[in-house]
Amino acid sequence: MNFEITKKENSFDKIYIGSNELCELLKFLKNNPEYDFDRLNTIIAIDLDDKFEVIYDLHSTNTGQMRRISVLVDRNSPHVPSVVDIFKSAYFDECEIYDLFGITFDKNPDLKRLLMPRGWLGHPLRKDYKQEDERLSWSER
Amino acid sequence: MQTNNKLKINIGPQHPSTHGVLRFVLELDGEIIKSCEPVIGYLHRGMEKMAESRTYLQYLPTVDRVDYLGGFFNSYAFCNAVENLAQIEVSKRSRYIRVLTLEMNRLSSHLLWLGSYLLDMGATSPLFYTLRDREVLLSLFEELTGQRLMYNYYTFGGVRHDVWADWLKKVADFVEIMPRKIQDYEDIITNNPIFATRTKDIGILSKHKALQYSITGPNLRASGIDLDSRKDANNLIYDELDFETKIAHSGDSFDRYMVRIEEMRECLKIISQCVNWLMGNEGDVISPVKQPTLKVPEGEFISNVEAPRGICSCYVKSDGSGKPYRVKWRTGSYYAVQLLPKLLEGTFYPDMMAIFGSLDVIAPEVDR
Repeated sequence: MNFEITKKENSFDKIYIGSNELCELLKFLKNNPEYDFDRLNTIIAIDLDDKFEVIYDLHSTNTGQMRRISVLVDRNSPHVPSVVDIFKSAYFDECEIYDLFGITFDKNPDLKRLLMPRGWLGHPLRKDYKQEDERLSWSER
Repeated sequence: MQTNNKLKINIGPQHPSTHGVLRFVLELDGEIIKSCEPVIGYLHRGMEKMAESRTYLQYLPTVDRVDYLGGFFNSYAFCNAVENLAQIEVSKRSRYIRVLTLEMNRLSSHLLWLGSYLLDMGATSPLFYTLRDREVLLSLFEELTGQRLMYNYYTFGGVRHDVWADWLKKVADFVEIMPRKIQDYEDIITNNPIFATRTKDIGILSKHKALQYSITGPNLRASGIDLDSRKDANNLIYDELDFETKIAHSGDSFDRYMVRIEEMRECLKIISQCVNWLMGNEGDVISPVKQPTLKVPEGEFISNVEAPRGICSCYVKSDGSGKPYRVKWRTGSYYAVQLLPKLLEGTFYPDMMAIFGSLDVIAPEVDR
C-alpha cells in the first residue's frame, strides 16, 4: 500500500531569541496574565554540529497552551543564562544539560554532574563524543 | 558522621523504600530533617544516546524501559511523536485499543503504588490485596502482548494485532468485580485512624510550589490544580469518553492517596466504555507503514501523555534519515525527586517515607 508522508505545518512552533533577552522574555511570559505560562515543562538541548540549541518548553496550566522558546548557543564557549530564579524546576534540567552537553548556565546556584558519575570525562550526548577515559576502572581508582 | 549536634546519614542506593536505586543524604538534628540531598544517576542507561544509533523500529522496544510500571505510556509517547512527524494516520479501532491498554496500565501502576506505599509505612496486608488484583491485569497483558511489563505492543500507526472477543470478555469480568475490591481497600485503609494520622497534614504541597517545581499528574491534582492532559486534543479518543478528573485541595499525603484511589475508579469507567465500543465495532488495526524501513521527514515534535506519575513528554527530532537525530524524555518522577528536599525540610524523620512514598517516584524514570 502506498503511504503519503508529508510534513505537517506549524506542528512545532518555536520562537528564536538571543540568550541575553531570554530571562526577560520568560519573566514577561510568566507574569503577564495575557500569556500566563506558569510551568516550565522541560528544557531540551540539541547538538546541531556547528552550534547547540536549547529549547524551553513552556506550558500554561490555565489555557493549556504550550510555547517553545529557542536559544542558539555558540559551540566553542557554550553559555546560557540560568532561569532557576524564574522557574525552580529548571535546576535539575540545567544540571542534566551541563552534564550531557557541557553547556554552562551562568548564575546557576550549584551546577554539577547529575546523571553521569562525578569524575566522568566529556559530555556523552555531544555528537562528537568518544569514550576516551583511560584511567583505571572504578573499582581500582 | 556527627558535627555540631547534626547527624549526617545516608539512605540508599539499595533501600527497600526507594523503589529502585536512589540515594538520599540527610542531615538530622535529633529527629528533625534539616536538609536532604537526592543523589540520582544509578540507573542511567543512556536511553537518549541509544536512540541516535538505532532505527525507529529498533528503538521502539527499549522505550518501555523508561518507566517499567507504565510501559504503554512511554511506547505511546514515542509512537505519537513519530506518527505526527511522519503524518501517519491511526485508525479509530487502534485508538480505542490504545486507550483501553493505557488505562489498564494506569490501574496496575496505581495498584502497585498503593500496596508498596502502605508497606513503606509498615502496613503489610494491603500489599497482598493489591498485588492479587494487579496479577489479573498482568495476566491479561501477558495474554494480549506476550509480556507482563515490557509490552512492545504499539507500532507506528497502530497496534501489533487486534484484540479478540474472549479477551475482552475477561476484561469486562475484571471491571465488574474491581469496584468492590477498591471499596475493600478504602474500608481497610481510608478509614484506618493510624493511616490517617500518619498522612494527614504531612508533606503539604502548595499550588504555587507545585507549579514552580513543574509537578504534574496526581501530585499536582492533589494540590487543587485541574490539569489533565488527557482532556486536551491528544490523538487519542478521550474526548468521546465519559470520565472526570478528580482533584483534592489540601495537597498533603492523604490527598495524594485519595486522588489516586478516585483515579482508579475513573480508569474502570474508561475501560468499560472502551470494551463496549470494541465489542460492538469492527475495524482495521494493522498499520500500513513498512516499519523496518520507516523514514521520517525532517522536523521535530514533542508529544505529551498523562502517565501515572505525571506528564510524560517525548521529544523527537528527525533529520530525514532512518534514525532519530535526538530523543528527549521528560518524566514526572524526575521533578518529584527535585521537589522532595523542599517537602522534607523541618519534618520528622519517621515522616520521610510517608511523604516520599506518596509522590510515587520510581527510579528508572528519574535516571532514564
